[in-house]
Amino acid sequence: MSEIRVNPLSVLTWNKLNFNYAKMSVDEGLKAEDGPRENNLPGGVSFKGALDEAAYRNWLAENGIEYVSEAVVAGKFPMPDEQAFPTGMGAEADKLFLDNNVPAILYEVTESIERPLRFDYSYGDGDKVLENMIIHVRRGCSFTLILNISGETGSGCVGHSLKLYLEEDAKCTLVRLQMLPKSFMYFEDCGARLENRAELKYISLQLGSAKTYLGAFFDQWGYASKLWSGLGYIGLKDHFLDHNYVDCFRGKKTVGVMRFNGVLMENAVKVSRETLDFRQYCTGADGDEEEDLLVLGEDCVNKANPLILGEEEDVSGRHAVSVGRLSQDMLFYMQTRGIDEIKAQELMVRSRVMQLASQIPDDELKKNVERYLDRLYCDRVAECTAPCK
Amino acid sequence: MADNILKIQGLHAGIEGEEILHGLDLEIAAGETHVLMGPNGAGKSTLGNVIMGSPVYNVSAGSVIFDGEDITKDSVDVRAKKGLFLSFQNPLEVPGLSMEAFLRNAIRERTGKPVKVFAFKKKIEETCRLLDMDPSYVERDLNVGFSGGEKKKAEIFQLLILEPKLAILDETDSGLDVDAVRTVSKGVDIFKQNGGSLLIITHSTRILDALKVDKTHVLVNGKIVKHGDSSLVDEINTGGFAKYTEG
Amino acid sequence: MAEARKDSPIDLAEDNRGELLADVERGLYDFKDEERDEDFYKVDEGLTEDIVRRISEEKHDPDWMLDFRLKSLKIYNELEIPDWGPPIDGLDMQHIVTYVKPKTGMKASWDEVPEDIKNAFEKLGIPQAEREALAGVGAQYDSELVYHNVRKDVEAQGVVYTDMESALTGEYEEMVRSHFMKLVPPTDHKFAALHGAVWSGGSFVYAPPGTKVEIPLQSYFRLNAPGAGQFEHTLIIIDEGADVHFIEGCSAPKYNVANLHAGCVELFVGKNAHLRYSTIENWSKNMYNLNTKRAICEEGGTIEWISGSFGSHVSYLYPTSVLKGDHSHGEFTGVTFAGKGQNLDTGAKMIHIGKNTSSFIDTKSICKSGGISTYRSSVEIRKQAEGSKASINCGSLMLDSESRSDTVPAMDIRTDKADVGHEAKIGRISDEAVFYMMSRGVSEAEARAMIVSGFANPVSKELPLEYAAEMNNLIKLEMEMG
Repeated sequence: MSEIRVNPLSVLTWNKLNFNYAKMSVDEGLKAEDGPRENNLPGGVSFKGALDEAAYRNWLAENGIEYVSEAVVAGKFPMPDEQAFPTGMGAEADKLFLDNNVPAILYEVTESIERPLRFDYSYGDGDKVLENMIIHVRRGCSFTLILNISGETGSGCVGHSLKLYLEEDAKCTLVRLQMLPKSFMYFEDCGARLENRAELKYISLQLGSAKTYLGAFFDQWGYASKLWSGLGYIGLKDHFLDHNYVDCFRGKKTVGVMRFNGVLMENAVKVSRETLDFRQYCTGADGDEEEDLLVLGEDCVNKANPLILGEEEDVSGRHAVSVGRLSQDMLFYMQTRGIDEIKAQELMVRSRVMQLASQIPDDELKKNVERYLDRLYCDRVAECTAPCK
Repeated sequence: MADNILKIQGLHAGIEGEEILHGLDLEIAAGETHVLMGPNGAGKSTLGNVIMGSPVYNVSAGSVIFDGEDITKDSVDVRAKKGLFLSFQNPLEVPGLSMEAFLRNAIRERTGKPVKVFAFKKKIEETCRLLDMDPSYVERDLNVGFSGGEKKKAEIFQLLILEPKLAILDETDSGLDVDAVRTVSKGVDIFKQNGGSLLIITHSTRILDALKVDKTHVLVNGKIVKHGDSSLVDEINTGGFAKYTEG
Repeated sequence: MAEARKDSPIDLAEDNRGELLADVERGLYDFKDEERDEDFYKVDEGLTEDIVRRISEEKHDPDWMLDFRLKSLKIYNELEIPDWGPPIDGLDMQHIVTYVKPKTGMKASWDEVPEDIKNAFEKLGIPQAEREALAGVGAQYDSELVYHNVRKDVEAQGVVYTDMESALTGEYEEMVRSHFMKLVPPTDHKFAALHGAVWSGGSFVYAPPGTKVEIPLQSYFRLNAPGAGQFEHTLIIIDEGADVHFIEGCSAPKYNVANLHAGCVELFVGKNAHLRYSTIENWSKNMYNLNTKRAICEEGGTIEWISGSFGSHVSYLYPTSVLKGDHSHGEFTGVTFAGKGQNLDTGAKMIHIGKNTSSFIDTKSICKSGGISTYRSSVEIRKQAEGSKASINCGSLMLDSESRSDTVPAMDIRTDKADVGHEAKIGRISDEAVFYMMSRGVSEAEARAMIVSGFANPVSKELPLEYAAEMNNLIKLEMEMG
């Protein structure tokens, strides 16, 4: 096992709070995802090769992507992790892939594709796998990709890194659905660069592994680029989830929405960092971030640090958190319709997850999520007499 | 079945440190439609909430007998399962939960049996038709993004699907559009025809125009100061509450 | 921007408290009295054990205090400076004169205060404020209390309001000893340790059970010597059921040499007691303000912090409320205005330990002309603090895009039986609001100043009139500059 620092907080705060970064232990001997890359790709999507470090640098250079020393007003230190293509988990996560000789698989989208493309990853006991992808969506193309990550039983370690480069007017919907067995450790990293008028919808649903690290850095360079991001998760007994989401507004009139729908049960632990970062000259930018967390366990730990960083005056940024048990008003309303507290809780858990799941453009996966919720409540409600038990 | 669907005796209730209802008596016979009127701040909405068992209020004395059973100490959902219903001025929004799924769960909770999908669907369609509502309503997330009128319609829709014995309709908010008033009136009418009892809390009478009212009660300062028949509604329409609030 | 719109221009116009104060010229806050060297006694510039011993000797410390200072010095030398906040590399402890003491000593009445010092205070408006029936004035000139006066009726109630030195050597020594730096231990951070080693001056308040002080107790601190640091200690003990409002006001003239302020405030709020602690800070723009303030509340106790931060070059200021007793309550209402050359890192900490505790944070940050303002907070709800409620509300108003405004609000919640709400907003003055006011004949500058004052209104409305007026004038002056 080795330990790396991931999910760096965009601006440091008191060390005692343990927010400034997360320590993540990863197994030794991680291997690159294998298997054919060119097969079954629809027309308009092509496999452009597995990039090693040098090839990756070339790709960055070809596309004019370079490390920009952060536009920081004097007095802010230290600097965020230095990455030419920033990701939520930060530079050490990138390095983990390099150290394990995992190349970046580059896909290019050169035509608009109506039908969602789905990559299924099914993991088994003992799997220690890293997946590293770059999706380059060319000018004006629209594309939907679903990463379906699942496994039946056993334990393992899975890490997925994804870099999304959306050229001008590109539109992309990206779904990451993780339903690994509990004893898996899972991390997913994302960096997205949006050029002029590019639009990204990014949905991540975490319904499985007991140890989860998530990072996302949305770099909105382009004029009027748009982001909508939704993260949903259920933390069960002994679950730990740590995430770092950053929406960085650089272009004028950029719009970003981030939603966090979570549920914590029993003794689940969640650490979240959610940042709206308004850089100088992003005039007219609009950022809106909301965390809605249902806490249903006595021993849950909920840590949150929602940052708003402002270098530009002409912006509008908003953040709201609501955390707690089922609200008294909501409970009363449900009860007036004959729904008791336990059932009301279940409905609230389902609604939080389904809000995001209903947006997955894949009926089979939507069903999978519903089945997961059904199973969850069969296991949890002792008196349940449904046939599935 | 007991003669009275609802019997309230000597009810004292309020919020922490402040009594709002000071010894209130009220009886509603099964199948009847009662109207509770009163000036602002008289405690009308409090009464509705207390009958339903809202935890915001505490009952210091008196009892609420529903369908022959003392429900004063029952929890809200138990009361609902026994056949009480309270409409909300501002029903809560639940993104991600469709109204259809919500009602299906509510019925299952009440009956303890899985809901028969076909029959349920049919009932929903029929109710939509009766209320002249677009069936897409029920697919939408519960109350999310509903306008004021739509919310009101959705509450009446729930009333007809859940089929309680006694519905308390809190209509103190008079800012309803014509369309919503029509839907409410229609829904209430259907509910009555099916044998439901009603307690309508209001200070306007628009909703009552098309409705046969059996009894009217006037609530002032936490006490019912006058019981009467439907003519009392007209009297208040012309004379207001001044007669009851003076002295 | 929503915040600016919410405080509608009409509300602002009606709140005419600002107009009640005569126009204040910027010069008032910038005056600098010529300091005559022979009147003052300075120690060597660096910080050594010798210096600490000399300070202790000079102050006639009891032995335990000398020990305390020496232990603190040791801790100071071991601790690192913080790595997370605004840079303080401009600060060089080896060249800061830690201790400056006017030779005048204690004064019983205003008449006996030396003329130059008196002039400085007069410009700050203290005598007027006293005439406005303030309870007591403990005005600290440099590091020593030079003027102290407690009104008879407060004294008659049994309320003790004195300077720390008198408390330390008088009949309250035991009380001081059992409370001094127990809430802010020298191990807390490097500057708390520094404070423990070299502290000097400050106020001591003890309100016996059930006492209610109707008029605020008030203290002005000033820093008036080049390169001088100020390390005053404020210790306030409010016994069961007592009620006190303490006002700390700070203002210092400009100097070019780096200045350090590392004061310490410790507030003990007893069972069902109530303490309001108000501060307007207007340190000179070269000041490093590394102040530590902390309160602990017993069962049913309430601490309210009202805080306006305007001055200093760099500030680290996060008043902490430890809600130890069940049903205790903490409130923090603050405004920070960072102008040119300022990096103000301010906020609050709330620690919920008792059951059914509640806390409320409402802050407004304003930045202008390249100023950096950071709102930083942490709200901690421990596992045993069932039934607790916390609400955090922070708004940032940016007046131009050279400036920077950050919001860093950490939350750590360890019970499911808690309600926590947090809202943050960032934005600018709405053009519509300015246009609206200009359409009624108000100049643009005036309109903007009024909107900013309105934005800061949650703080000013909590302050006594003369302080609110002072704050509004400070905002006006800040708006006019640069």
